Amino acid sequence: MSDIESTEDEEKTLKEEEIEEIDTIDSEVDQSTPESTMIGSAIPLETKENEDEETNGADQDSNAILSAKDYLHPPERKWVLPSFFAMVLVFFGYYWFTYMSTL
Amino acid sequence: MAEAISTVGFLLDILVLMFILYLHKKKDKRTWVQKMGASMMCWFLVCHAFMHLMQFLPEWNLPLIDVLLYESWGGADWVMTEKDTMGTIFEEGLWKVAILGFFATALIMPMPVVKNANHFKIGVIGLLGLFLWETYYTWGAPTASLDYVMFWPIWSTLPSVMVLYMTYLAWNYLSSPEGAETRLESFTDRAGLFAVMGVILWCGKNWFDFMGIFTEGGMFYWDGGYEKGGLNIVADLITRFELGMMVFPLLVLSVGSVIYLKNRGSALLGGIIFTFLALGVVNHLIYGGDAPDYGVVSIFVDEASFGASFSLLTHGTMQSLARPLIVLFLAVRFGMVHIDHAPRLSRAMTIMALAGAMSVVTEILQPMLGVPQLLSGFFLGALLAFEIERKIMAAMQPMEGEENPNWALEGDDGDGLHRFVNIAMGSYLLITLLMGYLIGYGVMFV
Repeated sequence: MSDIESTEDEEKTLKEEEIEEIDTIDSEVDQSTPESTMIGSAIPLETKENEDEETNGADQDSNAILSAKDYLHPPERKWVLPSFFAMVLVFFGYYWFTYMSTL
Repeated sequence: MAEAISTVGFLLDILVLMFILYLHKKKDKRTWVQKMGASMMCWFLVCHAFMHLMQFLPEWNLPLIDVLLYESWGGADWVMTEKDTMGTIFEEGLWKVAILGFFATALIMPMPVVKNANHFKIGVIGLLGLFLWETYYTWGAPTASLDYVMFWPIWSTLPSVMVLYMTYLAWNYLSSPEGAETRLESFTDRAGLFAVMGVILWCGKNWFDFMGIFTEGGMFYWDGGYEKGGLNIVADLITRFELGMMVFPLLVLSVGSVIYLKNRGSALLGGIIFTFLALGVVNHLIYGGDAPDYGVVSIFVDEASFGASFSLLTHGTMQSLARPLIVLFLAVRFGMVHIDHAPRLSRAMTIMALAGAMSVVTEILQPMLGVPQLLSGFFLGALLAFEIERKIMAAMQPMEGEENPNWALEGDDGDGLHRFVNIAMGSYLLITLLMGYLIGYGVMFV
């Protein structure tokens, strides 16, 4: 039993040392390397920068006016403008034909 | 005495105007968008107060104008000598400034749609110039022509386009999922809130009177000039567009409120829309659905007439009471003025607004349902006892963490644009007054 316990203790000590080493390396990487170049970062540096420019480009200058096109026609809900036009057409179409029939 | 609705409306306009002006003059960290919004709301209130003032002055009586306009379709029966032309021209000018000011606010709140200040200035000057030409066309020498066609090409079109734009913003907001995930969406949501309130302010009073559109009512049977051809067709199309835009937002908001309820679980807007629809149906089924001659009703109301009182309760309250209160809400909610400068005054303003609205509503209900007007005093006492006015003011305040960038424009800074628009509008009114004098007294342009 004691042999087994001592072996387990040695393994634990070795593992703890390994973990400490990894932590030390990680903390050094954190301090010296940008997040986008970190090992395990799923998004390459260039792609992430491009995304930042596209989505939050105005954040760099918080007073710059955002794109009016996106503001009025949100890219993630492209059905908003067509559905509005459809309502305009239905409403005024109905109005027009009913009005013409009364003349 | 239900005819006091115009008086209360006038007082509310003036009180809210003075309140906004007082806070507007304070130096604080508002952006140029917020300052310009405050100025434009003031222009609206000046116009609205003058409209109420006109109703006190018999010689400037609006109903007379309505009758004359109705009879003068096509220009044959135009009788200019029977009204105060100068006063009416000036009032029209004020309305045009109010519409332009509100449109300008919708285009910048909370983010300017136009990036270049010079484009904005050209648009404002262009529209004011067209307004001046329109004044000449509708009151000046062209009216003497035999083939003159009476209509307002700009005054009818601009508010209709404004309402169409705001209705789209409202649709965009109401149909979006809860929680703005991006910066852009948060601005879109705020633009939508402004638009919903703006649409109710401009169109709400008409929604009680135009239920006929669903049953081929009076909206389709007005005798226009379509069959005469030429400019009559243009006039007819513009008038149809204007009439249609009074009702179209109700359709969009009705659908939007259902989506809003599904997405965000809020039934408030849906409840308001349902109230409009229900009262509109009552008006249509019981009173024939015609738009009331509000000018006559508000002054010479027959208290024994249930129909006249109903018009006051719906159309009248939306026109005289709701409008200044909506402007107050917009000014505070969008940070156009900061009520922190005067908390006691803000509390007093809220109490006065509540008291005025409550007394008018109970006053109207008195002949209709036998509800004693004294109840308004008890209601007001209850409000004060529970300090509800503080909660209302707190609820109207801008949301915490809302971003208010000091948007950078090309061509000029925002404060310069703000100053330019104010000077342009003030100058336009002075020129309109002069033009009203020249036309009204037959000196020139006639």
